[in-house]
Amino acid sequence: MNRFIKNGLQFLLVLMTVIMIGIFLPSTPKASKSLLFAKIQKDQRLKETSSPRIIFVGGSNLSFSLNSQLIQEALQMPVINMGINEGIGIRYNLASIKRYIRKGDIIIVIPEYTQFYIQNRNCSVELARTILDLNKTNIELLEWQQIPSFLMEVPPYAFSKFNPFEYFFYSESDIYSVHSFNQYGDVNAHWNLAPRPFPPLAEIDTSKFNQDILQYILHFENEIKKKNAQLYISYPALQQLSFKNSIKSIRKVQKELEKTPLTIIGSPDRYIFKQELMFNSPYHLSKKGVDLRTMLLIEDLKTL
Amino acid sequence: MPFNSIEFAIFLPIIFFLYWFVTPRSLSLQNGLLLVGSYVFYGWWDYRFLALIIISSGVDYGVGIGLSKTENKTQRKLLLYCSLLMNLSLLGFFKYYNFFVESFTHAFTLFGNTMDIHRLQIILPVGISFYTFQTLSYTLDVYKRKITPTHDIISFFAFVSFFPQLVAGPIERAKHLLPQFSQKRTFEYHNGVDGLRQILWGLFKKVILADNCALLVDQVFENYTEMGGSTLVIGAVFFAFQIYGDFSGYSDIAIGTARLFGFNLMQNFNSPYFSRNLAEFWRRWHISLNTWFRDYIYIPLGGSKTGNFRTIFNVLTVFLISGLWHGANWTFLVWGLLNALLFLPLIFTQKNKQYLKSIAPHQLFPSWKEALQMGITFGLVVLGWIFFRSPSVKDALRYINGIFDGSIFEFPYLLITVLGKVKPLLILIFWLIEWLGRDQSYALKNIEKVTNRNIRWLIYLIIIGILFLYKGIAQEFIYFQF
Repeated sequence: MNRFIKNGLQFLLVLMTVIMIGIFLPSTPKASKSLLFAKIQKDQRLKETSSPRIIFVGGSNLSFSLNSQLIQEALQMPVINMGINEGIGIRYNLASIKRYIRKGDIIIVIPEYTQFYIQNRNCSVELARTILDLNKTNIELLEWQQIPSFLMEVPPYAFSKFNPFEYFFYSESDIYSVHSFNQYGDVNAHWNLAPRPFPPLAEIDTSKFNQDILQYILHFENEIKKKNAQLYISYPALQQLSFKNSIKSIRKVQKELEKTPLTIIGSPDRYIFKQELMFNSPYHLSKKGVDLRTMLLIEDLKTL
Repeated sequence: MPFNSIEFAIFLPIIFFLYWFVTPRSLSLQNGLLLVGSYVFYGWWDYRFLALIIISSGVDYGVGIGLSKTENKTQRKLLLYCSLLMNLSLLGFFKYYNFFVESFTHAFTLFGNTMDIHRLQIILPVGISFYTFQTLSYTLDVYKRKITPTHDIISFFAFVSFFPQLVAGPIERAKHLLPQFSQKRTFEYHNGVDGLRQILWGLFKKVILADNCALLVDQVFENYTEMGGSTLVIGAVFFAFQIYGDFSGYSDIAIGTARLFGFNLMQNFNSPYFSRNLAEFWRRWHISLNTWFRDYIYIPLGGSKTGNFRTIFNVLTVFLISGLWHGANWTFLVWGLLNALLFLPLIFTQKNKQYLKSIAPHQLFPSWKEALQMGITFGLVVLGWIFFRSPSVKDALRYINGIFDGSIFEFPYLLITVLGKVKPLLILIFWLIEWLGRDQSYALKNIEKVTNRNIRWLIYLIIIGILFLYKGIAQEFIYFQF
């Protein structure tokens, strides 16, 4: 038994050492080109652009399905699209922009439907990488319930530093790259590309609706009201088939949002898109789809 | 608590420590600890269902004692029926009530009548089919005087609920497992290391093979009407990989965990996809269940020694019950029927007892003939899995029809879209390791042959790294629902 315990502890020590080295090694070339690094430029723009401005907060439904320039021209206000990836989550996205919000700002939150079904304790790999790769001190923006799942993402992150595919044989994605974004924060790299096949969204378990996300958004709204900023919430553009597959969970989100005092822009049905307007995911639109979705949003924003 | 959870990663070292450092001098205390640990492990899902295990254990313990005290045939039969009735009633109610009600109602409507029987909102207790069969094996063996009943209540309750194999097997026979609870266990370094290595390989199967394949399989089966023929083929093949990785991975973790506590569980999978015909496949797949059916149903019915008609009946009975055991759905019955129909010709041509040894022993490659046989057998198994995975028989038939819609030679882009390029490569490497380890009780056991400790540790670190880097989205073990 003593030999077993001794060898076991030695192996654990080796494992921990590998993980610690991995954490503090610089970001890999592949990771440095990932779209998560776009957060640096977006935060920079958020810092530098003068208020009042329109700030979109959400996941890739925003980065891939919005033409911020059209909105800026139509509404004569600077637009910053903070959308990057759904995995980063609404909580962290809101928490990380709070410090930059100023008087007159309009924050439009457009989460993917699945965001309302992610539990508090979750910390996705994208969120963990956003913190570990970009700014390790931002761990303070996590809720304490997220820490255990954040810690679970540390070993994969650390081991990625030793993955040969992170250094060699990789090619920068044509669309999921730090270079895929325009100055407003929209991904425009796919605007001239042909659509790609993708699976539709599956049904979401409606029993897992997370009320805490709504509470967090309401709390955030109260906070920014103190700074004389305004918050609106809206629905993402979604492929028709995925809409059909997830209809129950979408209606649940709609019903729960309508119960809150939040100002809602549009409706889920207004942003349903046919297959020919999609690009490579149920939330990602082709250029034609992007422009149509943007025009719909502009119409809705003008009614406010 | 599932094996691939943080809770289990905390639970296991605690029980291990208490078992070997706090209670090592008393067998009763060790068994008591295993019993309490097993109930905590099971109660983590839903503590209310602990009552079912306790009832089941209590009745069979009592029946065993009763059987030891009487030689009267009628009384012995009554005791046996009491155990069968109680165990099968619980299983029948929780697992099959709604299925039979729906099927009965549906059959009634075929005659132009309508019927409204109340359906119940029943949650299926995790692992009920497994522990019911395990405890039944005890009563049946005591009844047939193959074993003597135990009077040690703690040992018996711990045997029924032994946490490593409680919820998804291997379904142990009392004859094999129960005596191990009465013997003093000593920790052996080699067993401990081998157990950990088997757990690691089981996790690899579950996290890398099964969970990654599940991503693709779910997409394909949920949207099969939108998919081309080649994608449907890939979806079905990957489901074959998924169910193997999921279930044999669980068995590996169970066997490895049991070894840490000084127990030996039976091998449950023996490279089934390298089989040369369907009979060999069924000797290598879910061995503990199939031998259970063989010993307690097929042979008591007369096996294949009582005429052709009777043989057909016996084979059909075993496969249909096996189908029904897997789930309360017509798809499982059709899966069982299909396998029976494919199995029967092997019996009548006496090919069911061919290929008792592993394929291509001591050779790197199989012969062309063996490769062809393996391919055909795998194809037939995959055909069956389509029924197993589909929500209804109609869906399965449509799925199969979709395979031949003319797009079977297209490249299945979904494979790369969903899994990327590295994961399919890892799956390929996995099968290579499985092939090289086909003569072992689990493929990673070959590492024992590496004498340099540093190289062995490097291999373990690489495997752990791959587990972290390429894990799929955690899925519940498929066999929990059975």
